[in-house]
This record gives sequence, C-alpha cells and structure tokens, in this order.
Amino acid sequence: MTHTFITAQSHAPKIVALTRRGFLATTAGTLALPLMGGAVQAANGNTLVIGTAADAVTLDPGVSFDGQSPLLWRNAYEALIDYREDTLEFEPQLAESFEVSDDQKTYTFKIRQDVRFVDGETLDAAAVKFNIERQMKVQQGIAFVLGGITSIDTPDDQTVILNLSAPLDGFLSAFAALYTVKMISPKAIRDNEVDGDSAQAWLRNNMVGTGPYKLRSYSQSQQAAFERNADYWRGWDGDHFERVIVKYIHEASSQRLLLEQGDIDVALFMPDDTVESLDGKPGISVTDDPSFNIFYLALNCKKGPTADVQVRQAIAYGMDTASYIDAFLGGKAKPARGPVPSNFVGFAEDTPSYTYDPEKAKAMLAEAGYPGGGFTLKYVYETGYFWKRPLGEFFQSAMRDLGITIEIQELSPSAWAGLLSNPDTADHCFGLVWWPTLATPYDYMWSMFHTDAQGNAGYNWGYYSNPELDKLLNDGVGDPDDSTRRALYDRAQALIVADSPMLFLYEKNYRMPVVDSLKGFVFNGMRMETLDFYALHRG
Amino acid sequence: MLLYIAKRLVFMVFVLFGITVITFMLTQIVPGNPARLMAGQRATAEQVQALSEQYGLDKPALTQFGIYIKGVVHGNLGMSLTYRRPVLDDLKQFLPATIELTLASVVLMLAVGLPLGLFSAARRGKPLDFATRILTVAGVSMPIFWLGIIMQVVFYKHLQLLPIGGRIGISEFEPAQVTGFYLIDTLIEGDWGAFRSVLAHLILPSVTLAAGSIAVVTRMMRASVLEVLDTDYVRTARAKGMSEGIVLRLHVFRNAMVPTTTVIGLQVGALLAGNFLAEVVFNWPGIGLYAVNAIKNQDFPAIMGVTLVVSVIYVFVNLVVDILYTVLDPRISLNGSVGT
Repeated sequence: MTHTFITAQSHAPKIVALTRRGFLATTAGTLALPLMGGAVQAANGNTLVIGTAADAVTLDPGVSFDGQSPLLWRNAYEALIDYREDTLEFEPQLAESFEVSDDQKTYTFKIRQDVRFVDGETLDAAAVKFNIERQMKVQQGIAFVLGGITSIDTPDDQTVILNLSAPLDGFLSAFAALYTVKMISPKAIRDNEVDGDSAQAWLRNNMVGTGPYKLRSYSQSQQAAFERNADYWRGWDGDHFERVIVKYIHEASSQRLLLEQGDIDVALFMPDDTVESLDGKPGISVTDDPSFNIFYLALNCKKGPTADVQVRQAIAYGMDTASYIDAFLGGKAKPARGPVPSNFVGFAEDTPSYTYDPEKAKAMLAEAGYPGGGFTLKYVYETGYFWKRPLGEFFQSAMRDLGITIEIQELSPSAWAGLLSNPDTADHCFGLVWWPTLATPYDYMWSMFHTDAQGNAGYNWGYYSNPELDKLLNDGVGDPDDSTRRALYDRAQALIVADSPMLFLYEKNYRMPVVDSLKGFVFNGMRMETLDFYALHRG
Repeated sequence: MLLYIAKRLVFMVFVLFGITVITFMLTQIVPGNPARLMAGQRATAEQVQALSEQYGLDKPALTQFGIYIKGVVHGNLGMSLTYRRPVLDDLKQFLPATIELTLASVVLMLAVGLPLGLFSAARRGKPLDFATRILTVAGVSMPIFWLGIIMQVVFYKHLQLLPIGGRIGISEFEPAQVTGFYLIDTLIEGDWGAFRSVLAHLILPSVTLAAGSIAVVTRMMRASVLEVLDTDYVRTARAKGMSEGIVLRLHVFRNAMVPTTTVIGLQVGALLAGNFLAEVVFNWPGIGLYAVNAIKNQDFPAIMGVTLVVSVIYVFVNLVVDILYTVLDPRISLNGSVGT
C-alpha cells in the first residue's frame, strides 16, 4: 500500500482517483482473502491438536522439573517401566521385566530386545546404563533420587543391575511416569555433546527417543509437531493418530473459543473457572477423575503469632473448607484429610482432621493469648496462579470472623519464590499445590515438612521444624520392611496434622476439557497435564 | 547528512547504555530467586546452587552487570533463564514475528490513515468527514485487548471468517524458519496455501494493533491538511485554475506530511508498545509475548535483550523520521541551520 501511494505521487493528475481506487481494491481484497480458503480450519480427523496455555521449557527430559514439558517427553521418549492405567502398580515398558531384591538394595531390569531409537540405534543394557549415568551427571531433574546408586552392572546386553548403598522407598518410581530417566539415543548424546554438557544444549530442541511419535518440528512457545515413528516397537495396529500438534495458546479466552469450535481437541492448563464454564457445552466433555493433587495453605511456624501451634490449630478450625469447595470449585473436590491424599499409597486412614468450628477456634485463640484475634497476617501469591487469589480472599473472610486481618499481596513467581525461600524474609502465608513425583507418601511429607526442605532445598517455606518428624521420615524412607515403614509414615502424618503447619484444604479432581470425539484417555494422578498420544483416537 | 547520522549513531550507544543500566537496576530491585524457579519444585538445594552458578546468578549484582555488558559488546546477550538457551536465539525466533506484525500495522496505518485524513479534510463537513471523525474517536478510545477479543468473537466465532490467533493454521505445520518472516518463508517453500493462511492470520492482529494509530494519523493528517488548505499558496494555486486533484497532491499533501511525519514516528513507537498486548491476545509469538513471560520469571537477560532491541528500533525510527523531514521539506536541514 505504501508503495502504491508513492508510485501514485509520480502520476500527479490521477492521485485522488488512484488512491481511492487502490484503497477500495485493497480493502475488498483484504476482506475477500479468507474466502480464498485456508483461514479457518477445523481440526483434521487424523491429526490430534492439543492446545496448551503453558510453554514447554525444554525437550530434554533430564534437566527440568516444570509441569509443561512432560507432555512432549511422554510421547517421544520412554522409560523402563510405567504405571498401569490409572493405578500405582508398575508395568514394564522398555524393560521386559524387573526384580527387586529382598533387602531392596538391588534392582534388576531385563531390557526389551526389539527396540530401536528413531536414529536407528539399538536400545540395550549399555544404552540404559549410559542414560542413568547421564542423568546423574547433569544433576537436574530426577537425579536427586539416584544419588544412592553405587554401581550399575550390565552382565549382558539385556540386563541392567542397579546397586544401592541403602534401601530407598519410592526408588522404583524414579523409572516410571513423568520425571524419570527417559531413554535417549546415546549416539545422539555423544555426537552432540559440547564442552561436556551431555548434549543439553542440543537436546533442548531435539528428541531422539524410542517413543511412538517423533518430533517433526518445534518452535518455542508456538508449536511442537509430531508424526508417527513408523518403526515403533508396539506397532501401529488399531486406531492411532497420524500426527499430533501441540499448540501453545497463551490466552484462556482464545483457548476456550478454539475448543468450542472444535479446532483443538483438548485444552490443557486452563484456569478453573474457564474449565467449569465449558462443562455441559455441546460437543465438549470435562473429565472428572480423582487426582493426587492436594491443596494447602501454609502458615509460618517460626515468626509471629503463627509460631504458636495453638494459633495454627485455631486457624485450622476456623477454615470452612467444605463451603469453599462448593462455592469456588463447583463441588469437584473433597476436603483433604492430612498432608497425603486419601487415595494415595501410604495414606493413614486414622489421621485426625480439623472440622470447621469457629467457636472452638476463638476459644483457642483466646487461650493462646489472642482474645478476639487482633493480629495481622500476610498472604502472598504469584501472578498467573489463578486459584490462589480466590483462596486468599476466602482465607481473609474466614479469618475476619476470628478477628484476624489478612493482607493479600500479588508477586511475580520469581519474587514470590525469592521472598519465601529466604528464611530472613519469609513470614507469610501462601497457597501451595502438590502432586507426587515418586509413589511414596515421603514425597509429600519430606518436601513440605522436613527440616532439610527449608529454603532452597524444598518447599518447607513455612519453616516448620520438628526433629521427631524428621526422624520418622528418615527412618521410614530407608526401611526395607513395608509394614514398619508404613507405621512410621502413619505416625508422621498424625504428627504433622497435630502441629498444623499448613491447612490441609482439598483434594481436587482432574478436570480436563476435551472434545467428545476424542477417545482413549486414561488419567493417572502421577501423569498430570499429559496425554498418551498413542492411546488416543477418534471415536 | 552522513556526519549527522554518524553523530546520532554514536549518541545512540550512550542512550542504549543508559537504558541497559536502568533496566538492570529495575530487575535487581525486586528480590527474587530465578534459580529456584528454574530448578523446579523437586529440585534439591545442590541443584538450585548448580543452576545459580551456571547462570552466574550467585555473583554480586555489579559483577553480573559487568559480565553482561562484556557479553553484549561481544554480541552475546546471555542465557535466557526461562527457556535455557541464548537470548540471541530467542530474539532470532521471536523478533521476526513482531516485525512482521508491526510492519503490517504500519502499512495499514499509512494506507488508511493518510488518505482518510486527506479526503476527510478536503470534504470538510460532508458525511465522509463526519463519519471519519466518529471513527477516529472510536479508534483512539478502544483498548487493544478489548478490541482484539471483540474482533475474535465477531470474525472467528460468529462469522467464522478469520482465524483467532497465531501465525498459521492451528493444525498446519510451521514453515521452515529461513527468514522468520512467514510471508516470505511460505513463499520460499512455494506453499501458497500456507502463504494465504499466514496472510489471513495477520489481518485481525494488525487491524487491532493499528486501529488506534490509524485514528491518530487520520486526525493529524486532517488537521494539517485543513491548515494547509487555508494558506495563501493554495488559494493562489486554485486561482491559477489548477484542478483540485493537483492542488491536493502538489501543494497540500506534501506540506501536510511534515507535521504528520512526527506523529507517524511516534505511532511506530506506540505500535511497538501495543505489540505487547496484541501479541498476548492473538497468541502472536513475538517479543511481546516473550517479554511478558520473561518479566513473570524475572528472567533478566531476556528482559534486557528485549529492551535493547526495542530501544534500537525506536532510536532508528526517530533517526529515519528526522531524515524524512529533510526529504519532505528541503528547507529543513539536519545540521541545525534552516534554509530559506
């Protein structure tokens, strides 16, 4: 257009007519453009289109613990074992079978014979050993579970034996599900290693796995495109998608419109209220499966009035979680019964819990030296964490009834982490959601309540510390006997609830909006916000 | 003129250094823990520490700044904490999208704003002028994020004419990145279907982004034209019997362009700023979207990278505007003297 204008200037007498005509022609052309086709497309039958609101951080499954990247890892890479459907039982994946010694210090995996990486390399015991060693070397991701490995033996091409210095509860689950040692072609790693980085820079943008789909193209924050790995070891009989496109859509309103029009098949990482508003729309279903997600509100146990256990207990009695679930979550959750989800392995059935009792709460506050409350607490949350603001407001109104003032402050995620991970600056209440990496209640209890998990190490940012609990957890995780370990964990749960370092709010169902035509989805709480492309098909 | 440009470029280095210092200070004022955030929720203290060292976050702020500046001089903008790759790679990927969108909006702004202002003034008080005035008020009043969503609802949801966002069809593969400009890349691939799709994807975001600027340019152009129409030389030209078309083209348009050019330059800056909103609404993978993410994660190398690039563009646009003055009005000289 600019060009037309300048050209027109050199033909002076016709300027007005020309420009007007040019203007009209261009406008008409612009409006007609989409009619030429290709502008608005419905999702292709043979292509699965996933719209997700959160960017993957890296394609390298070994170096990140973010919640978004596993969606991609899960389909291009595989691990030795996996969880069977929606259970916490293990089933073989790249391992044909596995065996754990009685003292739980030796783990033996038999590796499948017929598996190749997409670059043609064969998966064998040496490749598995190489990958476990790479994971330990990069010191990121699941590496923290592997520290106890003293040696890795490969007596033959199909056998890998891991020797541990001591038993470690949950060790096997480091080889299953999302954050795990995924098998990457050792040749690709060796060929692309730069300055001893174990090919981290290269694997950030490339995937060389054994999974059912291989990466066709990837552009950060835009899309990841996958197509079938023709030589996939489980074969392609039955109904599977030809290609899969993961589209990064950063606006909930767009994501919602796209799903309503059927342009995307699934929407991930949507705000709760948007998800709920989609329930019941024609052509869309919203999954409703119990998850292992448990929501907490942490109190500072070291500073201010909440350093007093009685005040923390009073606050727990003052929170009417049931009405929060009804009012804000559409009833799609249930009150939590302690630090561990009630449907998770190792949950102690007889853990006591706090039932809403404002009178008792007031009496306890008075007893603790705060009659009528009269103090102020700060609640901080991060931008973009849509569930934390309403929670803060509910907390604020519940505490007003007890005479406690809550000041709410929003921070950037980094500033939030900076404030709370520093014991000198942390004296705040905050919301937290947890789902497990390892299939053990230790995962929940250590990360938020163990003294060692304070500061940068974990999420004990309420700075709770109880040596008795630390000992129970330390003993439990290293005990090879199931029933002894169980008893230690049971006591730990009771102890945590009694000390009330956090409010145990609710266990929320996993709600994922999906078009009706998509079939084959199985949810497992160990595999949050991911899909098994291979299992999905159109009904 | 060359001396002038050289002076301006030297001056630009100081401007950019100043901007870098201020941005760096701003990113440091807020206490944060980007390494903790990067490491993820299961990371051990050692892992956080390792990341901290790897990205130099454990050093004092001044040292970090020194390292950063040294890198910039060598063409290294540091590593993005959010995406864990060189910021330069990020910018290479995201900047073309922003430039493509901004250029489309600039083209719209000029192609619609200038003639509309000219005709509206030439037909002062007539229906076209009246309609234009209403539209321009509407144009400057509508915030981008609101207009964008309304456009999506109308053109995507109800009329099903235009795509909702992104640069290319939702189930289409992105073209191979050669230039990063999809209009060009799809042509290189010879894929007309994809080219049309890219063009269609440009319409809503560029119209939304340009709406405000079109209004401003139209108003400015209209006012300038009205002023010029009142001058003696226009009356003389008409008295000589020149046709209205020639009067408008030869005497009015060019003279009215001088003040309008200033506004256009400012509007290019406004478009760059507007990108941050338009890119979020239309899921346009440009540096606006990138910057929003970077700010959330306190990813200071990325924030500084974006600030630097936007500043360079802004300074250049100002330089171009200054040079354009002399082209439009030979009486203006860049050396400080005014000709007669």
